[in-house]
Amino acid sequence: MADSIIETNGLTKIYSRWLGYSKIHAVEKLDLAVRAGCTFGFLGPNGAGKTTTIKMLLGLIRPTSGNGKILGYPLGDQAAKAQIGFLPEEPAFGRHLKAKEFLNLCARLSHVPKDIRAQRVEEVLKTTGLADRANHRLGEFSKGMVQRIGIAQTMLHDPELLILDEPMTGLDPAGRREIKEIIQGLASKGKTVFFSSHILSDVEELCDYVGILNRGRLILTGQLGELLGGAGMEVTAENVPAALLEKVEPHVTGMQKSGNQWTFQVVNAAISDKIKNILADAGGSNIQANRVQQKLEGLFMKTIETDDNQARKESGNG
Amino acid sequence: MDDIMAIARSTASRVLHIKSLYFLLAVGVGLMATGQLYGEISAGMSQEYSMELGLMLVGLTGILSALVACFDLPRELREKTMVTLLSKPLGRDRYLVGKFLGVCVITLVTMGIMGASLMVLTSQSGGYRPNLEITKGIILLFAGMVQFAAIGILMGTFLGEWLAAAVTLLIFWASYAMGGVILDASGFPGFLCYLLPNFRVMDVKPLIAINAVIDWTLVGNGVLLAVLYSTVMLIIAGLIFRRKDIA
Repeated sequence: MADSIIETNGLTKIYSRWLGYSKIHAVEKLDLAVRAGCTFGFLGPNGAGKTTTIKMLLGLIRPTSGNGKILGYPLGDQAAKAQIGFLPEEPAFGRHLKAKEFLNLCARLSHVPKDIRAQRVEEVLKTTGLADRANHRLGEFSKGMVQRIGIAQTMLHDPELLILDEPMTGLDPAGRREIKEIIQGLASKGKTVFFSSHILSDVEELCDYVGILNRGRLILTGQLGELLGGAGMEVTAENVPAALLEKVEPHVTGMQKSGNQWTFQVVNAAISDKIKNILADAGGSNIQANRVQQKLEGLFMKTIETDDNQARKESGNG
Repeated sequence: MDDIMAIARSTASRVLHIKSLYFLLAVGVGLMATGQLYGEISAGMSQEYSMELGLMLVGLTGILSALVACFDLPRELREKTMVTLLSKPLGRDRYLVGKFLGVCVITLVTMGIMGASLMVLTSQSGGYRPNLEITKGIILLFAGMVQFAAIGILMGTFLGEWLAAAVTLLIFWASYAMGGVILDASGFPGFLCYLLPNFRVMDVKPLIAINAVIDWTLVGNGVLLAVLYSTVMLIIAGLIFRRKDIA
């Protein structure tokens, strides 16, 4: 991808245990490309390697092999980090610090100029709805507030890229709504947001691109609309003669009648056109064809299941 | 430099929020004050005993403060606060230096409080002990603690909290014990004397207790040794820490 903000080539992380006798393949040959300006949902079941991948992108974990670039710099480069805002999974910050002190520390570490530091801290506190908690210690914060202060520290230096690891985990619906609004706000400003999540409805709502990781391998990636639109088409028509159904049946994957209306499921646009012509010739009326949108949850489950079945076959257990 | 100072300040600020620190300081000052009672049992040498006890308590406070170095890195790794900090444009070496400076500041503050208390108590007891000599003694003790903190940081880069503390204390004990053989530094234990810090040469408690004058050259050499030794320890720590996965 020409304008990729994140690009990895064969990124692999193998953890060795017991002097190398036991090996865990956390991430395997990951080729990932994330376009600048998009909101990318990084999905996968527990232990799929999402957090390991994110930590490799940030240079916190050294890849066993492979390489990558982030904002045009090698992984872990300080110049790249200066343009990245990162929210870790289950964020933990110094409990003794007040919200303002913590953000000041992060602003100093993120090289925010001294003359605008206080102003930026005020701004992000306001954006995340924590302005009235500025002088409260982080140890007194609820899970939702910790998550919000975590998001606040990612925005201090107005980064180009935000990497959020499970930003919605453990939040109540109101908290999730707030975080989603913040992410939408960042995306509307043209920022690239790369986030991992288990909450597929949130990903469906926020992301324009997704990647699904399973057992350390990227098994599906692409534009969300295109991926969800791959469930075939539906043709609806009224006044369909009963004799015609036998002629239509071999071409469709399913058909239902509701009142005077028939619905036919077909696998692609070519067959849908063929069915439309048959119905029109036979006197059917109100004929319409629509692409069927499946839910992300369905796509996710199907993709993971297919990959797991394939892995079982390959290992000879299936 | 701003990022290093930010880490140092954050480290020092966290330790200053530990309430037991103030309790320990209070106990230390209390014990120092009891040294004045030794007149009854010290065959007329209460001044010497209380001075040695006072300086020992200053050193002990320094050890306890410098031990933070062993705990801080593994704790931040375990609590995952390190993940947030190292995701910033902050080099790992700079993070280590910040941690080290933070621990040194805390050690200086606590030893300073204990040292000042010792000077006040000494002047109250009426015995002649020039504060300048006590200050020199405390500077040397602090120089020893700076090396102790650097070893603690090094151990913290690859050991767990308690193991790092145990190994650092073991090195302290071994270094202190071997201080006596440094003059004959040939053969097996001798070369270790050059690898390990020499805390014994920095321990001038007995000299101060008998009103001896401490040469500024000794103080200068002690400080120089501490700076050099700590720099080497931090370079090794940096090399190890650079390769560490922050999982």
